Amino acid sequence: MYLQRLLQINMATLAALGTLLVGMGQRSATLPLLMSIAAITSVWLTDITGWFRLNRKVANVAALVALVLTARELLQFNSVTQVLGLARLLIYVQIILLFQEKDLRTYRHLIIMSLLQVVVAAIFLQGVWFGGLLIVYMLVGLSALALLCLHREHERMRPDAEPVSVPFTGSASRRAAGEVGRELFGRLAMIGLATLGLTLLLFLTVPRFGRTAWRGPTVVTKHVVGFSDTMTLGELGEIIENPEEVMRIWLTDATTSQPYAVRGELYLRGAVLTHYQRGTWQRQKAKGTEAPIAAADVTVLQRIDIEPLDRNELFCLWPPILTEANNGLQFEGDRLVRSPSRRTQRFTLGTTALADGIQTPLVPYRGTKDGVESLLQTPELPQLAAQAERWAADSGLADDDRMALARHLTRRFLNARQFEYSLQGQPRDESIDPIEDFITNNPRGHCEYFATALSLMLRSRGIPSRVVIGYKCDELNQFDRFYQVRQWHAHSWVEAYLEPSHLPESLHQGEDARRWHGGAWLRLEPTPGASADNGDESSSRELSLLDRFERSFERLQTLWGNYVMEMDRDLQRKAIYQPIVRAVQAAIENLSDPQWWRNLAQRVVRAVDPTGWAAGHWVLGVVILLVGLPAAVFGVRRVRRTTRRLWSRLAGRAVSRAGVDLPEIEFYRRLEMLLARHGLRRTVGQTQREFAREAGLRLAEITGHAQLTPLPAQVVEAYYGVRFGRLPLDNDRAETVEQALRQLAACQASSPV
Amino acid sequence: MTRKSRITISLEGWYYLLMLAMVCVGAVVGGVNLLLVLAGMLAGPLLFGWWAVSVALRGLQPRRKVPHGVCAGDLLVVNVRLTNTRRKRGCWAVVVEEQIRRTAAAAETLRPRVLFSYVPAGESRDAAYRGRLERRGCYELGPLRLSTRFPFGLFCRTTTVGGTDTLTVFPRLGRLTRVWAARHREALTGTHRRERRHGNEGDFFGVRQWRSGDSRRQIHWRSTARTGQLVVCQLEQPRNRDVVVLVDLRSPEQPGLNDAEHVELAVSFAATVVADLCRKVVGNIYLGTTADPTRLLHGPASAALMREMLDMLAVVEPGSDDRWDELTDQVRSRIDRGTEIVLVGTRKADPADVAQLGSLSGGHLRCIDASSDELSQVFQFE
Repeated sequence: MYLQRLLQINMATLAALGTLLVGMGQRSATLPLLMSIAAITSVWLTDITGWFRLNRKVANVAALVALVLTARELLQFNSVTQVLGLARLLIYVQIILLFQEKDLRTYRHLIIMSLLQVVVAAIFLQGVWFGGLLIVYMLVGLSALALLCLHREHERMRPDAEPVSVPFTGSASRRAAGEVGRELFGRLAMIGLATLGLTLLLFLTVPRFGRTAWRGPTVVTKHVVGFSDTMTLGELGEIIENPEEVMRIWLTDATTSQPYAVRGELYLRGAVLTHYQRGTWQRQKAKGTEAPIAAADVTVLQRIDIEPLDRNELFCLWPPILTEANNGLQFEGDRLVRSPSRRTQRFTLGTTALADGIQTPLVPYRGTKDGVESLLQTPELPQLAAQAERWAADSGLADDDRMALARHLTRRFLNARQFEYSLQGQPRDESIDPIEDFITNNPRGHCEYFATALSLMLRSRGIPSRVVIGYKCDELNQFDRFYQVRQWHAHSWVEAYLEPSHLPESLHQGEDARRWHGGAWLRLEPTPGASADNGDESSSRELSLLDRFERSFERLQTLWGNYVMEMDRDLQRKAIYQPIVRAVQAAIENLSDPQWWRNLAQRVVRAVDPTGWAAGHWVLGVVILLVGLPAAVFGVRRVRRTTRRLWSRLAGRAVSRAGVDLPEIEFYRRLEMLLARHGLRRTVGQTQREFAREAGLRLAEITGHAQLTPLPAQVVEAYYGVRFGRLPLDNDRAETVEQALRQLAACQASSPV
Repeated sequence: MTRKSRITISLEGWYYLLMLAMVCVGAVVGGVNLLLVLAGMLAGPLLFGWWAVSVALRGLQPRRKVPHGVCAGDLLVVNVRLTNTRRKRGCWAVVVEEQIRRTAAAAETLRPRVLFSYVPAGESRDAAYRGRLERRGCYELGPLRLSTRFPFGLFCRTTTVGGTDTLTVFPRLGRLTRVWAARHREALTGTHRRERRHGNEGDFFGVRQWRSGDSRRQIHWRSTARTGQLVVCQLEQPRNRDVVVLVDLRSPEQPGLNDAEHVELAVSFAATVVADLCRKVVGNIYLGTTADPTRLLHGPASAALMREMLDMLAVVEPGSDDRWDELTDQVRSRIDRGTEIVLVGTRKADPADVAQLGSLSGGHLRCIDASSDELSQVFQFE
């Protein structure tokens, strides 16, 4: 009963876990909740108390109802909907099964359904929690299989399980304490652990054939945090850092096709906001369009894999250059948009934004002057203007040295101690413009405040400027050499327009001088701390245990995303195959390199030389001695035992090859059986030879045939040769033995006992 | 002890394998990494389950304890002990399957099973199978077949452990009626007078163990209390007289449908008579059959002789060869004139034979025809 109860609870848990896995893929808690309630209820009402049990007919009707309920989804020509419908149907059927009286069939069905459910769940895009839960599911599944196996054997031994005509019934041994106990679950845990190892091995080594990994049927597009056509200061409140991936960028040198290494962060532009009114930035349609850049100017190619988002902008290094005719992209004023999609999209663009390994702060402007005149619009912000005037006066720069002035104002934000970056929402004086409050009263805020303040200050000083929103990323994946852009990389910064006359003289010289005829956009980063560690305030204070856990989990999530969900052919080659090949090659080279052996020997000598040991070394040495010596003894014993076993096996095989195999000694067993029919049995302490001698005499006496006397001895002599002498039974001896046995059998047939 | 082993995949294992194949195909073709993870997790139980099954029966030693003999139709209980000689690992769900086959005929092999749900390392567990063998004869038990599907039921490892035992199933014993007892007494005394004293069946002679059929009034309660076993008073001193039981199993060339039944009845009756005589008579008992004329079993009445005679009757088979003369010659040469003879046959005794035996027994001859209703007057199955 205990076993069965345990199995019932196990099955209910398995069903609930399977549904939870599906729910994680669907981002829905309804069905897991429903299944959890059903699982608990069924264990109590159906299994323990037996108050409610669906009979077969009602269960069939219920299953039909479930099919009808999900039929609409199953019949749709949409794979995602069909998969969801299938998952739902599986859940309903499991609930019905849980409320039935359990027998072997029910248990089997429950396991199959649950497994199918997990297969469905695995199709979705899942996070690291899924991996953890999958391990739990595996352990519960192993336990369920083992318990079912035990239960099945007990069921087979039940008297009513046998047909009535069976004349014999067997019983089970007395239930031993510990049948379902620590040893069993310990064994299962070991198997579970080994299974995890095998899973890891298979996962890493099974070759991938696809260029990209499956990313799942996306049900919900991701919301881009803090990104819209309008930006209202203070609207975000406290910013929750979200590690969710938004896009990946691979940079390649257009000339050499080699990965392009960049120092520092990448600023990926999404959209620009130009019009400010009382704490709100708005995007206005740009007047005129910029002339396209010739494809020949491309220095670096940027390959972008972008997740399905609720925004159509393509975030990229600016200026982008379309290299493919039908790329699904188009310029809409000052932004690049893509066709909406529910699936991951991949684009390849060129750019001139990178030079000498960094993203250049200046971007040439190829539009008309009308396009920038509106960027001087400034609302009435006296405090901000006064501050800008003071800082400008402090700089001692001439008003027409706009580039220097813009950079000076930026530095003031970065260096002034009163301005502090914060992800926390700040209380603002609602009677004044929030940026005025930021400048005068509460100089704390996130990047939007800094960008707004700088942009408006520049405008107050007659420098056209705008706020750019996008991503600033420095997270480089070392294996696959791509930048991984996450939600927490969302950022805003400032671009100031500089007329050609305000640009450095050096830009007007040389072959590239024509690029700067329209002026340029100067990228300015006023947010303090943002350039070092993404402006995360938490990095500056001591991390709490929870913070550390969160960080660890985020890293785990990153690893999961990069190396589990995104493992494809290229990544596998770079991250697994190539390092293994390199390690093997290095090992082979080292083994044949005398210098390497010499170095190794020197290192070993240095390591074991006690004269140079510190106290720590002594402690370590003692520990190694204490642990290593027993381990070594154990290892030697183990090896010796294994060797003996292998040797005995090999010896056995050798004998077998020589024609002596255990089945051949069956002839002695036949002799014993024949003699036993005459009541002749070997007694304890009697050798086979003594027994044969005595049996021969008795046989002759019983049957009256004196010629039978030597026959048992003949057979036993052959047995001695095979069993103890390891001699192969040649044809002549085999024939002799066979003839003797035939005579003994014939004697028995002719003279019934 | 030789072992022959094999591992087979169970039905559940095939289903599991099919599902694993589907997941693998989905993972590789679709490039779904999570399905590959799942495939690995499914492959684990398959691989390690196979390994666990392959080592599960190592170090297990089954032993059966078989009674020397059992009467046909009686309950046979065979204890099986499984010893786990391993030092660390216990074993679960080991099924020990017995093979019971009658050696004399190509009969169906019976396969009773016992389950050892758990045997801890270094310990033994007992289980038993029970049943009834309806036909007398010599049965061979074994070899034992050990099998397990633990831990996941995906594979089945079966090992056949060499070593057989022999079990003799004696003829089915019945009960001799009062009519038979009366006739027996008459034969002993040579008169029709019943010896009754003090209104009882006889004088107190001693005590003996209770046997099926004994009256409850005969139970000697004091001795029963002392020994812990039912003991009855034996009221009559057994007579010291030799008895010959001859079983005539000559059958026609073309035996009919009832012939086999008559043979079994005759053998059962003979076995019952012999068992009864061995318990009660103090004297020599002879047993001879037409099937085995060269062996006329005889000896003083004892439990050992009873067992030997039941052994003989267990395997006796009817034959069409006429060995009657051979048998009577042997009897004539061994017994004294006037010895009581019981002739049990499957047909009405030949008058010539009756005359011959009658003269030999001095008139103390009783003929029982198993094919007639006469048998039911003296012999019944309980």
